[in-house]
Amino acid sequence: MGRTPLTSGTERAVERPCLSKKQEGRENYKLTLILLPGVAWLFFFYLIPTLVMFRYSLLSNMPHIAPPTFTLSNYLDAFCTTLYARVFLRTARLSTSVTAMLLLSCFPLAYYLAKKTRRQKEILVLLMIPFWTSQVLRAFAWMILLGRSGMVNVLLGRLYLLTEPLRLLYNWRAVTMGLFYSYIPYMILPLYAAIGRVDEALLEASAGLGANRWQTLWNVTIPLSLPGIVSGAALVFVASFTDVLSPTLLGGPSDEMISSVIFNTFTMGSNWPLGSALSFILFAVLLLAAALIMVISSQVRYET
Amino acid sequence: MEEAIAQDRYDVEVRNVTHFYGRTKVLDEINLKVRKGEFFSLLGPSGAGKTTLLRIIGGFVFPTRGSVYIQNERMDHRPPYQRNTTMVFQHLALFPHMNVFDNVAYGLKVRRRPWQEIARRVAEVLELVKLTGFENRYPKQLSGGQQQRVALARSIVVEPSVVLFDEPLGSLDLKLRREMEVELKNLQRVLGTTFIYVTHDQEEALTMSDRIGVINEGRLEQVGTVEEIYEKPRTRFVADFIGDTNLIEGKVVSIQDQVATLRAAPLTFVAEARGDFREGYLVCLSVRPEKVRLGEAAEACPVRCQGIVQDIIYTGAKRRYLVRLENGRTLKADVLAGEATAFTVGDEVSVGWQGQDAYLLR
Repeated sequence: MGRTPLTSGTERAVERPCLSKKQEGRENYKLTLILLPGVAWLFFFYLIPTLVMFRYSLLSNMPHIAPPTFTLSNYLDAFCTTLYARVFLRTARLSTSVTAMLLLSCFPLAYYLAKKTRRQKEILVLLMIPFWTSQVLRAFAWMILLGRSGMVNVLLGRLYLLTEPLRLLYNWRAVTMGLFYSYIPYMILPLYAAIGRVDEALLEASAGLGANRWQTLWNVTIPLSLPGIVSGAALVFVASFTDVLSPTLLGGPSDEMISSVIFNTFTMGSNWPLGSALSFILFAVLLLAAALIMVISSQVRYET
Repeated sequence: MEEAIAQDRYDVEVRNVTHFYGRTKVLDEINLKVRKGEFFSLLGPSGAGKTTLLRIIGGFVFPTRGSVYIQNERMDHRPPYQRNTTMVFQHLALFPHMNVFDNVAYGLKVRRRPWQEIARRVAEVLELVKLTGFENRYPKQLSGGQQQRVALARSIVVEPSVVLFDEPLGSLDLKLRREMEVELKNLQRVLGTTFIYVTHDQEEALTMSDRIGVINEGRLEQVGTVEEIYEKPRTRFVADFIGDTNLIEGKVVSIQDQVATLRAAPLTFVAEARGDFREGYLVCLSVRPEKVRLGEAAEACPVRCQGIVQDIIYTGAKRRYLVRLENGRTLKADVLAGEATAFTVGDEVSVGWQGQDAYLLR
C-alpha cells in the first residue's frame, strides 16, 4: 500500500507518546472549558442555595417578622422533639424495607436479563416505559387504582368478594408500594450491569468443581456482583429516604416521612429556620450512611 | 453387567456422539474410549470440534445425539456438578474474589467436607504443585505459571476420576509452556488420574500423551499411541498435521504383498500399502523429511530419483533442503547438521529413501 505524506502525518499526530509543556497547558485549558458549565451550574444552583439554607438554619426567626439573631436553637429543637426522632426512625425503617424488597425482587429479574435471555433490550425498554411519565402522574394512577371507589375495589365488589371497600390507600403499605414501584429502575439497572460483567467461565468453573446452582449463585455470582448490589441499594435507600411524593399522596397522616415533614415545615409552618435545620440533619444522616456504604464496599473490592 | 465388567478398564466412553450448533454439524459420530489412568490428548486444528467434545464429556454441553459414559455410568443430561470430572479452562477462570487457598478449597467446600480435611488436602495439593506459601495471594497477584498451578490444584484436590483440560497452557510463553508440559505429565503419573487434554499444538500432544485422538472437521481421524500416530498415520490429514511430511500424489500401478508401485509421471515410486489399496486407486505417498536421504546416502536406497537443490534452511540442529524433482514437485529433506555433505543451491543431487519409510495414504 502506498503511503501518502498526509496519512503518515496524521498517524504521527495520533501516536505522539507524550505531550510538551505547552500542549499540556492547552489540554488543561480544554478541560476547564469542558467542566465549566457543570461546575458553574452546581455553584450557582446548588452550593449557594445550600449556604443560604445553612444560614437560615442558624437564625432565630424569619427575617421579615423581626430582626433575627444567630442561634443553635433550631438544631436543639429538632433533636429534642421526639416527633422528629420518630419520623426519622419511621423513614429509616420504611426505606430500609423498600431497599430490601427491591433487592430481593430485582436480583432474579436482573439475573434473568443478564444471563438467561437474548431479548434484554426489549425487556429493559418495557420495564422503563412507565418511568418516562412523571412521578406525580404515577402516584395519581395508584390513587385511581386503589382508592375507595378505585378499580380494585370496584372490581372485587362486582365479583361479590367484598362487602365493603378495602382501605388500600393512605397507609404505610401504600407508601411502601409506591416507593417500591418508583425505584425499580434504580435497582434493576446497576444489578443488571454488575451481573452482566460476571464472567460466564467462572460460573462454569464453579459447576465444574461440583457446586450446584445455588452454591454457584451464593459463592460466585452474588459476591462478584456486589458492586452493583451496593450501588443499587445505596441509590434506592437515599432516594426513598428523601421521597416527598409517595408519603404525601399515598400515605395517611401517621405515615409522614422526614421529607414531607420538612416540606410542611417550610410551606404550611412557614418556619424556614427549623426546616433548614431539619434538612441539614437529614443531609448529615445520609452522608453518614453513604460513608458507611463506601467503607463496606471498599472492603469487598477486588481486582477483576 | 457383563458389558460393565468388560469395560472396567475405561474411565470415559463416548458413543456415537453427533452434535449440531444450529444447523452446523460440529461433531460427527464420535466413538472414543479413554483408558483408566491414561494421558489422552484430543489434537486438531482450531474449529475441529475438540473443545466441544471435551465440554460434552464434562457436561457443559449436551450432545444432540449419542451418549457419554463415565466409569460405565450413562451421563445423559447430567450437569457438570453431578459428574466425577473437573475441568481446567482455557482462560483458567480462577475466582478473582478468592485467594489461592479458597480457590483450591472451593471444590471441597461445596462438597461440605470437614474443615480439618479441607485444610489438610489443600496443603497437600499446594505442595504437589509447588505453591506452598501462596495461600493468601489473590489470582491477580500471581504470575501466569502460578495461576496455571492454582487452576490445576483446584481441579485435582477433589480427587476426580477424570480431569479435562481445554488448552490451558496457550497463554504461556514457549519456554514456560514446555516446562509446564513436563510437570503436568509427571503429576499425572504420580496421581494416576485420567487426563483428557485438548490442544492444537502437536508438539504438546506428543510430549505429554500416552494416546492421541486426532480430530478434524468434527470427525475422529485416528486414535492411537504417540508412535502409531506419528509412524503409521492412517489418513492424509493425520500425516500432514502431526509432524511434517512430503505428500506425493499418484496412481497405484501394481500391488503385491503390501508393496505398491506408484506412478507419479514421469516418476515411479515403491511404497508400503497398509490397508485396503487396489490397482488404479488415486492415492498419496507419504515420506517424512528426516527419512529422505540425499547424495551418496541416497545411492544405497532402493527408491531413488534425481532433483535440484532449490533452497536450504538452517534451523540449528538440522538443515532442511528443498529439492525439486523431475515431476515438478518440491521435496523436503532434513539432514542433521553433523552428517551433512554440503550441497549448494542449484546442485543436482540424488534423492532416495528406504522402502518401509514411505507408505500410501488415501
